[in-house]
Amino acid sequence: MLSCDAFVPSTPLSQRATDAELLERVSERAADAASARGAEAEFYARHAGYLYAVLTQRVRRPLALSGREVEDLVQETFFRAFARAHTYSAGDALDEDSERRRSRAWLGRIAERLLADWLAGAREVSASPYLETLAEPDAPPPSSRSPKLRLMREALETLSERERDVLRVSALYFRPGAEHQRLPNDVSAELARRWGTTAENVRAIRSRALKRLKDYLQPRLRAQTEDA
Amino acid sequence: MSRKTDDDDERALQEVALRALRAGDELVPTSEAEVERAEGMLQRDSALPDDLRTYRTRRPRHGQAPNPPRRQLGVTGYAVATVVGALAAGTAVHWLEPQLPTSVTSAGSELVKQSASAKPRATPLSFQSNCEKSCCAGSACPSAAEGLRACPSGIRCASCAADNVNGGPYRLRLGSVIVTEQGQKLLPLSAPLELCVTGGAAGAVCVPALGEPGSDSWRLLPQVTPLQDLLTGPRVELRKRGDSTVLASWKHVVSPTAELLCRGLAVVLNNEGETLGRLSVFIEPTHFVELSRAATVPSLLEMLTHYEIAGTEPRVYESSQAGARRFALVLGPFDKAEAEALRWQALDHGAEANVSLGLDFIGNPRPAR
Repeated sequence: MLSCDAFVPSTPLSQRATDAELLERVSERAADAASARGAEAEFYARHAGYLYAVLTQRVRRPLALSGREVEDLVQETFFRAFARAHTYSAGDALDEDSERRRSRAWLGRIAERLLADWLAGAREVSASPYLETLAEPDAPPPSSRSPKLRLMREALETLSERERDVLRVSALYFRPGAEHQRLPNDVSAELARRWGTTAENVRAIRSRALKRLKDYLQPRLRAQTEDA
Repeated sequence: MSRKTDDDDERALQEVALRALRAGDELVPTSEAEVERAEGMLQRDSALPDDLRTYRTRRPRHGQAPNPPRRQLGVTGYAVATVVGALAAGTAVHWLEPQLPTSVTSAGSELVKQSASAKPRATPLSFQSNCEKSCCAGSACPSAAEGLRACPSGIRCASCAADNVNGGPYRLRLGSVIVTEQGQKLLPLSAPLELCVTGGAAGAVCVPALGEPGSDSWRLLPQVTPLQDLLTGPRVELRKRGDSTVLASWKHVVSPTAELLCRGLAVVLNNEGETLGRLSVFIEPTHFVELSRAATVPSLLEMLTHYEIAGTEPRVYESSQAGARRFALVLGPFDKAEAEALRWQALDHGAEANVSLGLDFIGNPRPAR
């Protein structure tokens, strides 16, 4: 049994290699394979428990559409991360918590990208490099108490589980700026089977859900602005 | 409402949905703030399964190849957002006040800001053929036997070992049927005849059987053929157009060896022991690395200046799509592994690239330089 201790290492950062240092050693595999293997093992031990838990909680259902299991996604995510270790940037992570979250966000992007690839049969998938590169936002992300965040959560609550499921899967395909985006036929068909409906109806469910989100959010966000 | 406005509205809505799902912690956390929330919500007693307890180099599970494609999907619907396109999408959120942050990746985070003054560096793309390390056929294969250097198929380099696990899919290029003396007597040659390839899950795919004046005597089958369809034996049938009656046929297991990729298949169409026709079929790799799409050729050629390409020649294909996806700047075709390696080279330098099967390409390409 893996305890929560595995999610949050307790050793002070100053007494251990940072994630960035570990990944640097991994990227220098050709020069020192043994050191790279050790670094891989350490990085994996720090984050595998978290990744497995969060993927189990969040993407088990979409993943099922690809015929894979969470274990496959965890394994492949680390494999891809180590293969691309040189692309990791520690950014301005100042402390252990920040560094850990940054690494996990990076792993999350890789996992999300892999999942989209798998659902699409690894063909013709949008290949934005930004998915695996952590952006440096100008402003800090909204805190969990942000009114906007709360409003969006409320909006989601107005949707049925079926609508949320369809939106979750759609989100994996969404590419900002791309035209004529729609769910691949196979994925629509799988969703339709899951919910005992037709693929055409899955698209209708998606459109309805999007419209309901809009109808809920638009007036409330406007009111928030006016209040401010 | 125009179609364009509908699309814009749909995109804007989907962006909002994406943000709502992220805010609702329903997607994989991909920012530090989301990770922080996720860590707070995770149960304390989550357990790793036995086979994930320690990291081992990639192990295929359940006898699977490490990353097998699950199924064939349609080519359309996976438009790639360029950075410019992604930024432009921000203008679509016009109905929402206050505006939500607009330029996001599908992961929901802001795109990396591009400095206006930054001079873009050309992306180096160097094609390294996998097969030149160990090859048996092709004009670029130094170790090819005498008879396998100049290949009728035009292939430059074919690996010695057929990849019967991860290889494919392939495109089939069919020649015109040469009707035998017996076929002249028995076939209804005044009717339009077609060649239909069956054997896969997709059903029969047909092309004209006989060369028509002024047309290319070679025809690319308008779909790809998975490796397993070759290994289980595709069937080529000669039929009258619009009639499912088989006039003559051929069926054989096909393993894409170096010799076969070089020389192609000699297909003999028989009916009850009588040979009625013959044709050649080439089996070709079909993975293209698409660097960009544009509405005009000059726009694509301008894109080319952002790359330093070595080892392969970029080409421009016209596609059956309209607007900004009409022309494609591509490298290839390659086998899947080669195309993926090249795609990752581009991604590693922050450029866009995706692998396509070229099913919407029309006619012959033009060299891009």
